[in-house]
Amino acid sequence: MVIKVENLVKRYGDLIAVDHLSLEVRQGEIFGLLGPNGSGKTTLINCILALLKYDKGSISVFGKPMAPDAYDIKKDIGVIMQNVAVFNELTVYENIDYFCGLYVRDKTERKKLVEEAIDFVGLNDFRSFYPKKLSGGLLRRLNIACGIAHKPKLIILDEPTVAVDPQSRNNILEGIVRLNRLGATIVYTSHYMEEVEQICSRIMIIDKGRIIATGTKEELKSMINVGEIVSVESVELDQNLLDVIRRLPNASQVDYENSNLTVTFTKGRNNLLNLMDLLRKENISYGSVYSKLPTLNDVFLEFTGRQLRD
Amino acid sequence: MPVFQAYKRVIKKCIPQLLIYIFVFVAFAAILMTSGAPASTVQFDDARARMAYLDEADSSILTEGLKNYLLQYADFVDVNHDQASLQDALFFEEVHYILRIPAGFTEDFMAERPVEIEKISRPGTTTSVYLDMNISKFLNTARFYLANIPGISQRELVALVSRDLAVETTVEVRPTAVNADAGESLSIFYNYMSYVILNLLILGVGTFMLVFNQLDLRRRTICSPVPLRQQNMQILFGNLIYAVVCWLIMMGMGFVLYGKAMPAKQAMLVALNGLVFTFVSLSISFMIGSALNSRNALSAVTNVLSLGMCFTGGAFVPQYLIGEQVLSFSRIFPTYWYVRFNNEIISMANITFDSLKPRLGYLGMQLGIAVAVLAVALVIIKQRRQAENA
Repeated sequence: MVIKVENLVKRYGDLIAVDHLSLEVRQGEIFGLLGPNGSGKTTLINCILALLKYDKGSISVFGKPMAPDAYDIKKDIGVIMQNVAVFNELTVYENIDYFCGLYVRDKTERKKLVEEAIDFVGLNDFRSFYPKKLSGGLLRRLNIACGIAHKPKLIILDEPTVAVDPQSRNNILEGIVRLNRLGATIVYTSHYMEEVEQICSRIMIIDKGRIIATGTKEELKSMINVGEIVSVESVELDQNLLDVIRRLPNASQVDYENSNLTVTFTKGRNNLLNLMDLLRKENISYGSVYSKLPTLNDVFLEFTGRQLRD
Repeated sequence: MPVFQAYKRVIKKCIPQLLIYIFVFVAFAAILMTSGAPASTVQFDDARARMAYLDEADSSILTEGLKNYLLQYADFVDVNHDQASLQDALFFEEVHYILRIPAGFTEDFMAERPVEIEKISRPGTTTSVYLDMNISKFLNTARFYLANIPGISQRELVALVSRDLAVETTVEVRPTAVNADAGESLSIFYNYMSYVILNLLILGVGTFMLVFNQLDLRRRTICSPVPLRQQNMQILFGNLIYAVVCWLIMMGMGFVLYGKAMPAKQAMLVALNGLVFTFVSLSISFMIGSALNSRNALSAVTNVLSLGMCFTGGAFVPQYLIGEQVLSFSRIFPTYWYVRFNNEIISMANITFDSLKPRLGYLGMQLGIAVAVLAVALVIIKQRRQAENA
């Protein structure tokens, strides 16, 4: 076990930021921590990194208790903070060299590692740039390079793609997967469910400091009743026909608005086929048809009654 | 030492700003040097006076001997002997000194009777005193021979006196204190230096502390395996090195510009005072850098604090021109004690341990302020960290 958190409680005055939370991060996995803003993700990460004192519970990393002076543990952790944490007075190269230097003393080895990190995040053309001259995406890449240059065994990324353009986001996500393939265990926090779904092997959804659900994305989706959501555009229906649709097998919810029909089915076979057969039988003409499998947002919605981005 | 390396790089980035302060200071020092009085007033210059010599004794061998002796130190000018012409000549500085030898002077002198000679000079002039001394010297020496060699002739007497007075002794004037004119320039220079040192340190140390104390950056560094104590030691090391380098630059500049104008003892004490003030400035900078969150605030506080302390402490205006109430208030600032120490040390003619002892208290006051400010800074840091980790 790389990280083990047991029954963690962290309070800010009357507010419980982390509420009796337990988790385990296994060797070699990309562990996603998904939750809306203010759900306690960053607080949890800061507690794991011993940056914050907590009220109750225990945290161990690499099988040893984590503490502010646990330097032998810290040397194997790479941290990418939510806010870009670099020196504006240092160039890209100097920044990476500084953070790498906190872990690696040997100059020659460090030089090699810094070059590799620059290559890895694709900042070769910007090595002599000062951070203020970099775009948001490049700055995030620099932030990552500073965290991974010393080749840590465990990398903790706290919302590394906030305010990043799609191209840089893909670049960052691909990089994280590559790091994982190279042997690093990753803890990835985000409120973007698509990202978590795309790269994480196991996901924990948290809200208000509590665990909502944990598992692989398939396991999480299997926890809810939603099977698929079918949308049919430009269709003319009357009330009788809508009642017939509602009586279709597995149909749990039917919405009809502006000539658009949305039917939510619970798990079951041939849901889309049954709906199409019915429309054909009733000689109803229609435009586009979409079928969408449930997302992590649906999981969150079903457990909390709120959207992830509410 | 990664934190120390980062310190060096941040300071390197500040160099253009730091150079502005140094260049302004150098320009100020250059102006001070060119506008100040020459630093050569401790040397002796032989000055010649313009003199009217009126001999009513019909020129004896003795008075001729006196006249020839005085010619070595004065240029004789012909003027009318009437009172009005003599007064005009003095008023318009045609002559500096009028010497009248009365009739019967030689007879009375040779008979060892009391004699009188008349002199008129511009009051308060050094040349008149100088000539007085020479005339007295000649006549007193002649009186000495006259009393001890009975029957000596005027010719023999003049020969002996002339021989004696021709003996010259080389005198080397060694300055034991800074001369007044150079002292004024030195005081201005070293007192103004306090403003530059304060600014250099607040700008350098304050900037680094501000940068390094950014929450995310500091947390990111705390996540590393470098122990917090080691990080703090590296910052302290960086601060000390930077402060000492600033002090060396300033003192080096002082040595180049004024090295010859100040005796070694004074120079060492002024340098020591500068070092103590540098440490006070360091603790002030450390406190400011620890308490503030933005560069704009740093810039504003730097200006208010450094200008305020230097104005009230007497770094820009001599302390004797500052009101008593302001001076009483400024005693809480290190600049007051720094300036006072400089002024007193530079003006001291002879430095002994006894004369230095009360002045050492000024250094103690500065160190006391440094410790107090440092204590406040540590309290601020502790409170901030407790709030962040809570």
